[in-house]
Amino acid sequence: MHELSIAQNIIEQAERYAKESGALKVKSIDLQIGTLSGAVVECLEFALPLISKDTLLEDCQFNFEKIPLELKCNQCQNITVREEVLIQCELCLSTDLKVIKGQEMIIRTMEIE
Amino acid sequence: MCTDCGCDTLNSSFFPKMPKKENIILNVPILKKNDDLAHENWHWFQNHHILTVNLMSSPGSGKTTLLEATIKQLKDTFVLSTLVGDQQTDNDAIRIQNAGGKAQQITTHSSCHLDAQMIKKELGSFVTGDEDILFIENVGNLVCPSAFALGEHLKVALLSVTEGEDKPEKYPVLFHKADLILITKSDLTPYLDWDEDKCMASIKKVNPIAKIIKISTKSGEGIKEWFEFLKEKKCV
Repeated sequence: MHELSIAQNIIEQAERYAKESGALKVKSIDLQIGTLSGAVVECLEFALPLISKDTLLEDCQFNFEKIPLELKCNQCQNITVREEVLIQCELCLSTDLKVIKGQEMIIRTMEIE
Repeated sequence: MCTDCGCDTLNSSFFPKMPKKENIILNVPILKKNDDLAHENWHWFQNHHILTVNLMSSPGSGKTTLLEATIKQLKDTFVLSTLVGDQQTDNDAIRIQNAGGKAQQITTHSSCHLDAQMIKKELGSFVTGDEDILFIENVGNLVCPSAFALGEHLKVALLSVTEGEDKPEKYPVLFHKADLILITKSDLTPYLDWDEDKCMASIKKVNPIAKIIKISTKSGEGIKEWFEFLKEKKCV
């Protein structure tokens, strides 16, 4: 359940930026979670409302964007997009690939007031 | 004149003042604090010429046994230290000390992984800076340790033959990130239905480029290759 640590990091960082901006409340926050990030969105959805109590993010709307794994084949240059971790080109079946997307664990934007 | 509706009443209360909303674009990593500390740790290791190896696996796959064997063999060649993470007890640190190693237990209590702050606390104190190689034995867990950078140079994943062949596919992130995958307890394969080809295929699906060594501290298989790997990386 390392998502609890990740959730705490989200709350701490968002609160810090919100306070720096003079905000009284964080209304919503947009997060990107990649397939290869090691974090599970459903666990974060469970943990965040619980630990945001008595913070500027209490009642905040947490919006998640799941980023699939995006691989570029070094052999045929094809881009393979996958929801699961499988490092193989769907076109030429090469395993010589570069991970382009899917490692994200990012706070994108937040709406404050 | 009121700027909202044009009436003659200044400071009109007809339109209540709405809270001002604002969108902030951040684009910051969620684990920025840990990443920054890991970066500091990495520089500290670089400045002190210490090769740092993060060992990760499920509990009972043989991390401590491998370290005991490694320390016994390499302690006269290299200055070695070990940080050991567990939720409770200092059993593993004691085992490594009994093997002639210098070891410090980090008890994480309810936490399921080591993080960069836990390592940073030990730098300049337990980890003096005179080491050639620092081993970090992470908390036994195939999920959580993979998300937290420590500042290490190498990630080594252990997979014992008793765990079955398909763990890499089931826990892909940790195995994907590994520079080296050690298939441990290889001496037990005659007593199991463990299928080497299946295991290799499972690893290749999530990490086609990792170096793989079959290893056993009992039979000695792969031990020389593991030491050569460490020596080579230390020289680099």
